[in-house]
Amino acid sequence: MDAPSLMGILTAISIAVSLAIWIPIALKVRVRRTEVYLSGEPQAGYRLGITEVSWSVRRVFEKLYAAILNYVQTGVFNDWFAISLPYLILLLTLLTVVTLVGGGG
Amino acid sequence: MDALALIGRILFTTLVYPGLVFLVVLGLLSQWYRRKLVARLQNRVGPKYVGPVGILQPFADVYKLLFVKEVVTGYYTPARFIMFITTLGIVTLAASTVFLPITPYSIGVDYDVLVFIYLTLYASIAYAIVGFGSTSPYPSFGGIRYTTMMIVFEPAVAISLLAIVRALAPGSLSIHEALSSPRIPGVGNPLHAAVLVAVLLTAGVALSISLLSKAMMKPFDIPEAETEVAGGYLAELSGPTLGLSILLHEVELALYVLVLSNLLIPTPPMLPGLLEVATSLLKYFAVLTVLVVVAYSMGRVRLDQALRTLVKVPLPLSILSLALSFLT
Amino acid sequence: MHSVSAAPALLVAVAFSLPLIYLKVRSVKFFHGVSLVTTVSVFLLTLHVQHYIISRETPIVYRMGGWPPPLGIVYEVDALSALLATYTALVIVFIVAYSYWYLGEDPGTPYYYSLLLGAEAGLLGIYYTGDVFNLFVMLEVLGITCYGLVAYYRSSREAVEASFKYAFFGAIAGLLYFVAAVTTYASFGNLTMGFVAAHTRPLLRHSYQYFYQFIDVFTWGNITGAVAVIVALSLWTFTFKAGVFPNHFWLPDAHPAAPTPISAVLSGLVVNAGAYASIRFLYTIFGVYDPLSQFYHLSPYFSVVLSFIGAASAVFAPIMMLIQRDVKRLIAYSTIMHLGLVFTGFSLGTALGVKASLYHILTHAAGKALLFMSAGVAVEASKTRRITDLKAVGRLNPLVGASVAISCFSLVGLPPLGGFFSKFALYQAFIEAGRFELTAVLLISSGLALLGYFKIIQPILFGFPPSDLNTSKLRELSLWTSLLPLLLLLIVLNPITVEVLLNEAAESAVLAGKYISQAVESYISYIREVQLSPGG
Repeated sequence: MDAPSLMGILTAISIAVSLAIWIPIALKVRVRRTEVYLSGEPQAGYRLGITEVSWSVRRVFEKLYAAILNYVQTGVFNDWFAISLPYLILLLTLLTVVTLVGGGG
Repeated sequence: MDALALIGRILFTTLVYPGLVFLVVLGLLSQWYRRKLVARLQNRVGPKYVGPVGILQPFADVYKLLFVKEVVTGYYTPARFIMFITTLGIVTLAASTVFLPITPYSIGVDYDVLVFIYLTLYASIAYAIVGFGSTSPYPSFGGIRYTTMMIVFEPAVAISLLAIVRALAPGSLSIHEALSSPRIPGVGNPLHAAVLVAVLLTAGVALSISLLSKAMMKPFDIPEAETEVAGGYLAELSGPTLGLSILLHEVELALYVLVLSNLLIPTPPMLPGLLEVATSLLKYFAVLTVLVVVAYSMGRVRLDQALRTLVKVPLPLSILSLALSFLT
Repeated sequence: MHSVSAAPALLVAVAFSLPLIYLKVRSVKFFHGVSLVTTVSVFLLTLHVQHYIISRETPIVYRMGGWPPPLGIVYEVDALSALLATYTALVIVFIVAYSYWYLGEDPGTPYYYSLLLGAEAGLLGIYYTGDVFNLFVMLEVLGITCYGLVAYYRSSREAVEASFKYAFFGAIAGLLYFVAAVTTYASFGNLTMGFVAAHTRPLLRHSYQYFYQFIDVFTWGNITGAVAVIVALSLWTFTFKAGVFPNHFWLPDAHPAAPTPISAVLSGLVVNAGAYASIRFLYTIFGVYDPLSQFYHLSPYFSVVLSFIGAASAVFAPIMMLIQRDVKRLIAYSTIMHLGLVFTGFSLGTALGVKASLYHILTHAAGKALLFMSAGVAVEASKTRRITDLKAVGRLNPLVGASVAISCFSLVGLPPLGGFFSKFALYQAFIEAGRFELTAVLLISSGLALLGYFKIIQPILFGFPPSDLNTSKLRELSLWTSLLPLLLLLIVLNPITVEVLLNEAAESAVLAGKYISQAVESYISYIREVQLSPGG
């Protein structure tokens, strides 16, 4: 047996077993809704205040993002050539040199 | 192998031993052990009343929560969906014990370490969904904090597991083979043995640190910080949803510490069945002690500090160990 | 075998006649119907071609207009191109069904479908063609229709700017590829892929002497230096088409600005053309990874270059995903990441690597199309693309919620969805090739992308249920007919269903022998026909 088919069997069994466990619990319990827990603050006018899920990532890797946004993904039309043209020239020179020196043919 | 017999074996290992029943018992026992140990460290008594020396306290807690008839949640929290996703997380963790060779029914195939890594991903996704599932700010912040750490610890755990398995079972990359092969460093080529030890050390440190953040233990318990975000991703839960979430946490910790301890500490070869189980458990509690003592002698860090630590220590270490493991 | 050319021909014919019909028929529904019927029949045609190839086990060569290979244009279809063409035609059927939901009574619909069917014709042409210059034509057909489609909302400044960027870069890329095609003709003396491939494999000369006396008729020039230029220029073009790291700039602008179904086409299907063309050029035509080829000594350099650009995009794109505020832009960055993984897959030069790449192309195409389409429902409902302002339509229509979640999880690689199996194939290929750094890159990029996908899942599934929403549009049947099949496709894309097809395709990419001999055979049989015919 190979790993993908074992994975298929394992996930199928897991989903079946968890359905079998879940259905009785889900049928049995009643769900009573209350106001959300806000440490005693009033709920009126409350709106979920998550503006940016990855704010701390941005904060921790500030320098990395500054570098990317200033030099790579600037959004300015012509900055693209500063990266893409060297890439083309690199490809051309590398391949020409190795083809001619490498002695194929 | 007969297909029916195979499915029977997988069902048995998933449901009973070393799957659901065994893992739940082990997880709750180690919760008691952890609470007792931490209490001793902090000059407290810890659980005391239920059962001898309070050993049944976690069982009583979870039993009480699971069989509550009424769930109280904030508006818009999909309680039944959270129950399903946490159950699925627990059962997939139980299903991934099928590779643990502490039972004669265990199964190993080539590349099953990837099956293990991706099957246990359900548990992480369950945590994230428990956090994000509520429209209350506290669970949402818990979810954000968990997923933010997840982007580093998931790769670190996976890479270091891969490195250890690659070093111990180079041909097949089977976690089953890595766990069951007799491993005495120094046997055979000394260079090979040195590389093996280096891989185990680096990957062991990386895996332990990232495991602390995966299991939300002390320096990285940011997602469930009680004082800041009122229990984080657990804040809106009650009854079965809370019980299942606690169970998910304990089962995940138990499974990972079981795998970590058995991968890192070399076993003398060819132990008879029951003795092997006993040594595995001994190693399990030894590693758990070390992890808990180290973890609870530190204070909680901020999310950005945690992220910085995770990026600076476990991730490079795990990549280093993977590079080393490909040398052998 | 006329169904090879029938599919592109039908598409082109319908595409050109739709605006003319619009002069007489003013009902927009009619155009939706015609396009659906056309794409379904094209899918059946491509399926027929694929079935024929799989059962015959050899590539088929179709001579356009009856002209033999080195003189005329041929379509040469092997297991690789047939697989991708069939899959493209299949996914486009669902995208057309979604367009019906998305566009509704939009008066621009006929022009939209004219361009969309043109793009499909370009894609099928790229996959089916056996001619280096015809590939240029088809790339331009695809490109021009896509520039038009990106600028479909011509009153939006953003769309016009994105389209202009895309078109400008596309013109440069097309020009460079044109120079590559000219260089091919100058050095190899012909443009038929099978014949060019035969020239690059001198080792075959001893075993196929009979063939080579026919091929050599068309040869002049020194191919050694020319191939460096050809491959460098064409690889640059193909990385532009695929949106891989150094040439990815246009992609996060163009994909979000387009109408949502077009974003699905661009991200799911159009980028695959670049990956396919790279595989075709490096493996089949110039045999960089073929030990029989005289350019086999280039393989370590290509391995380094391709795995570098692949790994760079696989790490760069999820880092950018994390800080996006625009949901479609976030998904567009995810496309860059997955195409990077595809490039790392076939950089290895092994059959396993090509198979993993193809598998990832398939699962990514379905997952990305579904993600764009289901997130597009939320975008339509919220009238904004800002992630934090998206309405929780997943709570109103469970199908949309399930589609967003399942497509994200498939792209992450959660089992038992298709994404897991394709990532597993990639891991397997990397480890067998002993490339630990690529394994680490794959794991790290998957981990980084997790948070990116949760940024989409969180508002659409778990946000506040919108109260001020017109829900009747969310319950239309056409939404179910487009999302549900793709959802099921993600679930059934496991090795049991596609393993055989992928193995055939990868084998046909790595071993070019049959591809070459079929092309030459086509020429020889033509010569025989001419000689045997009276007066010939």
